[in-house]
Amino acid sequence: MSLQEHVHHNVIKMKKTDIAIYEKTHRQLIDSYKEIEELSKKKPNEPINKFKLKFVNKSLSDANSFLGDSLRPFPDFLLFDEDELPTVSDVKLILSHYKSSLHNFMLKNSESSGYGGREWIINGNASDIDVVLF
Amino acid sequence: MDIFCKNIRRKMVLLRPRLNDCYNIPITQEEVDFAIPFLDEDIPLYVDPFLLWKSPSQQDTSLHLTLTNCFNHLGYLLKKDQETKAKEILIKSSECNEVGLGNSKTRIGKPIGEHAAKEILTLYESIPQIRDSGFIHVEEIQLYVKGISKDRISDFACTFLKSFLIDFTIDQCNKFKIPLEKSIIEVYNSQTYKFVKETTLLPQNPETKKPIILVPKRWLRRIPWINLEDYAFGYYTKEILKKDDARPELNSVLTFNRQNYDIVQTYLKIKESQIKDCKNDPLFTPIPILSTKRKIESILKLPSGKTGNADKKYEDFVCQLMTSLVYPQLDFAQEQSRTESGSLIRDLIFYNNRSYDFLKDIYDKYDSRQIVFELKNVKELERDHINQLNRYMKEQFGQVGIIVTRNPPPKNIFTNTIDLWSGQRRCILILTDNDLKLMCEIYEGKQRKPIDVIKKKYIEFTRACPS
Repeated sequence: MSLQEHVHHNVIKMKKTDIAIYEKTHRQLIDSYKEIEELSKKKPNEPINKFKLKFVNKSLSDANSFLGDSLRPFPDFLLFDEDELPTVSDVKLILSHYKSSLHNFMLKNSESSGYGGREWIINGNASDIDVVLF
Repeated sequence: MDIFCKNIRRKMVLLRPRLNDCYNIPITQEEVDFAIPFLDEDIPLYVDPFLLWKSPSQQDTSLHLTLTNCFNHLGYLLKKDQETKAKEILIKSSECNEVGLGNSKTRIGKPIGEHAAKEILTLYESIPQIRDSGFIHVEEIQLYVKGISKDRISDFACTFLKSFLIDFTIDQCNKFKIPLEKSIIEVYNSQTYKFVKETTLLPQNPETKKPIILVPKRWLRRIPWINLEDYAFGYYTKEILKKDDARPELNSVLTFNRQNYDIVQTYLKIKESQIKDCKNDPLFTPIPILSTKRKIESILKLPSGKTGNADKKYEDFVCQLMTSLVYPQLDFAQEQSRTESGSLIRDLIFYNNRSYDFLKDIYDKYDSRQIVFELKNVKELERDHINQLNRYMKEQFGQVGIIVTRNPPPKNIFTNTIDLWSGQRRCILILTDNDLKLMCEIYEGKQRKPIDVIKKKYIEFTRACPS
């Protein structure tokens, strides 16, 4: 069963191969957020350019495939429409929510390792794979 | 009915039609190497031979040499007692209607008279240095002969370089699929120094059937780099006149120049040394960012209505802003005023060159070949305003019109635009102060294109239309 199918049925079960994808998605989303946060200090109301928006949407799309309907921050938001001219602050707001949602996803799919860290739950069972915290 | 006739019929409804419009070819001025000619009037630019002289391209410098050789050949003819022949060539070469450059509203100019031709040729006799070595810059004759101005210099250049311009035109027409027609045209042969009739392929004005020659944009300026005003009021006033001397009369400057060849040469050397500042002029120059900021600030401060001529000021500011904000996706065609129900209405008309995805969409769906922007400095848009634009579109344009006004329309007015779509397939978009402000911010930030704001409005409108 694919990750999408897991999520679709609200049975959030991580496979070992999903961990690398999750880590990449989360890392990219946080990096995008930092970038946008910097931009928003200067010109929050400026529409974001198409190049940046394309990559923000890619990160959001990857995140959506993990989060599914249950964990996605807003039920009626999936991706930005470039024709709507989303501003820097719009993008910052959404990325901020997605950051939290991905964190929640990680909490739901991991458990405390007892040493202050966390370990992934793989196929419903505890594993000894540490969660990388961003 | 063949496509050609259909295009002619369509051309009739266009304002200030250009060559590509009549053949339905979607090109913008920005993307092509030539100045797109108007069908009914001249382009207000001139060929400046100095741009060829300073060009890094060997082709251009060679052409400059051809031009001066052809011109100086007239001096040679004079030496050989063939004044009549020289005069004939000079008169014939003084007008080049095929290129359509200058100020004419009809694309037809007149050649110089016998007297002016004689005066030019006299320079080869009265000034020893010219008699011996000829001209290096033909523009120089403006500094000696009355009535020879930028348009004449441009015409001389175009006539003597017509053979090259014909090849250039054919190349460009093939590149952009502009139809070529068999034309008989008189060309100056720079090897035999004679005018000969040639049969060639050139684009034609579909109505008059007259051939059209395209000119490279890189050769064009509004004013030649070397010109009489610059000489008289710049160099001559500063360097030659004494402190208390009155502003010179141009006639007396010309007489002075004919007797002081060396002084003119010093001026020419100075102009040559300032070569870096000599650039070709684009047909349209967008206003600087700072200027858009000032204009939008002024618009936002203006009251709605007519108090203190606020409506005129609003229209002026929006006109200056909008032409720059939508450039280069939309080329500005013309500003137009009309009276309807006793009130004066000002519009901006743009060519729809289908240079952007949604522009192609409105062209295909609404047959929008030109887009009309109607300016309304009113507090609240009314049904009458929408109907006025609708009637106007019906008469002249495709089915897309844009109203630029101060505030978002009341719901019933927006519904009215949707009803017009349902009933007559009209697309009327409404831009407000906030949209203009956003367009200016985008113009400044350069992250998106200001025209994206109009696209957004179009998408919102389309979504609101019943499916």
